Amino acid sequence: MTLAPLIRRLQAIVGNAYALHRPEDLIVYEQDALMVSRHKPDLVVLPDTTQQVSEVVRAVRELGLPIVPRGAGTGLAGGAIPERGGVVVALTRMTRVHDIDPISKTAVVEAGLVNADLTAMLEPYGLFFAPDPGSQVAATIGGNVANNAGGPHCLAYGVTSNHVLGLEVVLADGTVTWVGSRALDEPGYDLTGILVGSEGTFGIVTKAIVRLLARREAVRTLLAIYDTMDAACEAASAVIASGIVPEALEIIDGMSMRAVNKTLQAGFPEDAEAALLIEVEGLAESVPVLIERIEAICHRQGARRIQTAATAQDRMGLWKGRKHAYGALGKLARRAIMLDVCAPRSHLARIMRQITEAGTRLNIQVANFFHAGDGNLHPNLLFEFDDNSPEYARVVATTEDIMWACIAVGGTITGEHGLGMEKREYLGWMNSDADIAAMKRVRDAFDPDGAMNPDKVFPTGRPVHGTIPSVRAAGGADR
Amino acid sequence: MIADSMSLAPRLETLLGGEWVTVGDTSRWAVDGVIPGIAVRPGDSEQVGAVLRLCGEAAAAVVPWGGGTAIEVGNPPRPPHVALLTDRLSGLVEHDAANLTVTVGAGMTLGALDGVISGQGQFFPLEPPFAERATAGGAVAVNLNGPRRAHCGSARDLVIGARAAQADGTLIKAGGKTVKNVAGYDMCKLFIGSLGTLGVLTELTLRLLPVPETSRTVAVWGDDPSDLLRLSGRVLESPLLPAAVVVVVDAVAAGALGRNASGLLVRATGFEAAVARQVRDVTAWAAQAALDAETLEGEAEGALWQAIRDFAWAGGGIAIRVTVPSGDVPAVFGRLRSALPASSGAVVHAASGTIWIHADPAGFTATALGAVREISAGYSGNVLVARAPRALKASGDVWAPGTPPRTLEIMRAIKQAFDPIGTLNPGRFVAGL
Repeated sequence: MTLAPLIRRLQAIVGNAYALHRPEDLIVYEQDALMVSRHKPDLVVLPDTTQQVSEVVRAVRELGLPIVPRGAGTGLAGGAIPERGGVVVALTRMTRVHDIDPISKTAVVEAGLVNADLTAMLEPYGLFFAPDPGSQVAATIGGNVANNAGGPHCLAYGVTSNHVLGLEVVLADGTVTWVGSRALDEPGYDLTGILVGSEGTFGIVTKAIVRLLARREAVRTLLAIYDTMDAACEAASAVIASGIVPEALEIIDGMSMRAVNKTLQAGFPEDAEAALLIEVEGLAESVPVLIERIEAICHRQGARRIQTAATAQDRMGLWKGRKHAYGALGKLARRAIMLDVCAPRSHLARIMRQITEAGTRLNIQVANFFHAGDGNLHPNLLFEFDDNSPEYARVVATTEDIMWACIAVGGTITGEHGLGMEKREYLGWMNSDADIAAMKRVRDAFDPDGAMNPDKVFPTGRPVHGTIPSVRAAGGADR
Repeated sequence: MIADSMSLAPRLETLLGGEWVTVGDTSRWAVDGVIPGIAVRPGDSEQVGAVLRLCGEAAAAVVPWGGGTAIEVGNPPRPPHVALLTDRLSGLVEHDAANLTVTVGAGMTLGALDGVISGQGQFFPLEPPFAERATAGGAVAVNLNGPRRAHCGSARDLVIGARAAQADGTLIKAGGKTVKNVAGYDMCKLFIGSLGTLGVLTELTLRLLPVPETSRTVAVWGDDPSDLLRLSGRVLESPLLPAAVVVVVDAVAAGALGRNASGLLVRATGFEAAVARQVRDVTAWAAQAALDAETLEGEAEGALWQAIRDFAWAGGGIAIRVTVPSGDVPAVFGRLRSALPASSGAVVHAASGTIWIHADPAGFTATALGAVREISAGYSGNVLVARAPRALKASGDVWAPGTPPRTLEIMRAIKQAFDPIGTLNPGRFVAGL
């Protein structure tokens, strides 16, 4: 099929500069932050308005090509990879803020607005947008919505779905419609709720009505160093079990700390196996009480050293190691894959032991830094070989062992990154055929032709990675 | 009742055992005056599924029943129908205290749930009307929230896992017991507030919160509700983090507290030092506005919040919920007050933008309801006529405004796919879904 007429039509809609078709322009869009897969789109369009998105969708669908919505491409599960080709619709030009209502604490923003830019814009109002994924300086609100993004501070404040009141969406037939509203309790099914986390398979979100929170008047941060991962996990569980839900509760393991020490002077002890990073926010009267109690718990659980910080600068110092951990992994190995799984918080220590065991058994180094407070783990698998080498099978096997261990204690195979391409074949490990059929019925109600981001989320029956078969038979039973 | 009723009742009896099927004497399960021909009490989720399948085959509609505390919510049921009671699905599956979650049968009352978790210093903050008798499944399906919504979250924030029986009898699960989970679509959202029209909830996993160490409520009294709304605005724009901010107007204050004035109630929970600060600040701001304030705690405080929670639902009468962006509450409330008959009362949940109106049916006409809808629409608000005489309900959809046409098409497509022959509470939801 010659694409020339479609290119001309798309150029007429968005302007010549924003309908990309030359191979050197397309190459940027062949992958996202899932580093082990790439597929070139046929075309890339960068619309500037909802109306343009609608016209683009109509034009592309007339030719029957698939559409892959894309934000900043920071997704870690391959959700923005145009596996079947087709047209990538990148929302990065749509960055307007249509309304900030500081009294009702809501804003109406376009999908391409960068998460951190929104929060910066809200600073003068004393407000912020709570979801703070690690990629927030690049990730867009639309991408946050598609993946139901989380972040360290989601422990107390909740994930993206808790902060989205309504969405403007362009459907596969090009119609523009709204779900939800600025007021709560919009009549009908909660389509906003189900659209959040639908990974672009329902339509293209073009605007979001987001809920904003007021900055708390006091913040304190605490860093506790532990000799063992077990002790740090027990301390994290003890904090939660004591009835304290901090704003953030993170753990960094020894390997990550040593990597961070190599890249910046973080000052972590070289022989410690875990650090617990806790942040509490609230009234000036309650924060010191909280920190005091948390400190006592951390001591009781055998902390070697505890530091607390109250000023912004000191707090940033304590966070530095956590924020730079991913970047520092490059010091340890040529390749790193960040996994994203969840276990109930009551099983933290046990699941961390199983992760270590899986790495040892399969001879894969694993570095961990994660959101311990909500049980959201990020084991980073480190290796030197290419992803098309036979050795990569050990990476797949380690991944599968870790996911399986989480499922066995009532956890999940992804807490905040999504299924995308990376984990779609594993949905059947979590859900029965009937569960998956129900999900597909919802997708079909939005997009009966499966035009939007096809082959994402649901199992395709193809190998998880290239030619490497899954080492476990995919189960269909309801576990 | 039903074309095939002669055979449906015996088939249900064979399935469940005769003691769990009631035929004839079913008037206590009437909804809007429509009496079910049969009431059934399945004992587990498989039986719920089997009941739905049998009823589907007999073309009988099914109205799922929890505690019945909010059974009137929705458009009137289409006769004939079968009442499906969930009271036998009331077991505790698991309380994972260290994970701050609980998994319960959908028929467990929130009162019973509290009995399970309070001993470990935890609570479930939904607080719908008559929470003692309301079931977990019913509360989630109807999605009525309570005074602490803005502070502690609503049903869509607190439900993290669910199991449901579908119209064809198959059982599905959604979510799980981790607070973060993006494995597949967030199917819990579909069942929350969908009034049992997509499936019957059989089990729920809920987030719990630690019981705050201290709780006190500042009650500020005044003759003019607008003074109190202004003060509530000051509280909400302050750094304070109150658990609830509510303005009660005349009737409820009098009823609950023996007062004959309107009141602003600010609940402060948490550590003593933080509670004391909030009480001090609110009391000082009240004095600056020349309003009297007192501090309530213990039983008096508990009774007050229970009265607020149940307001609009207690003692019959019309119950209407208006939800607007929270910043528009003073303007909307001012207009509503002049449009409503003097016999009406209202409770304003300022932080969540929710206004509950309680009205005497005698003085409340379709014209008054029209005015409420019009005022709400001017502020992108949503209206639910939660309880009303049948004639008033029949004057239009109990939900307003109408859903945008293309969005409604998607909702219809979902309903059609989940319940193709219309077994599950047909016609009762938005736009007859």
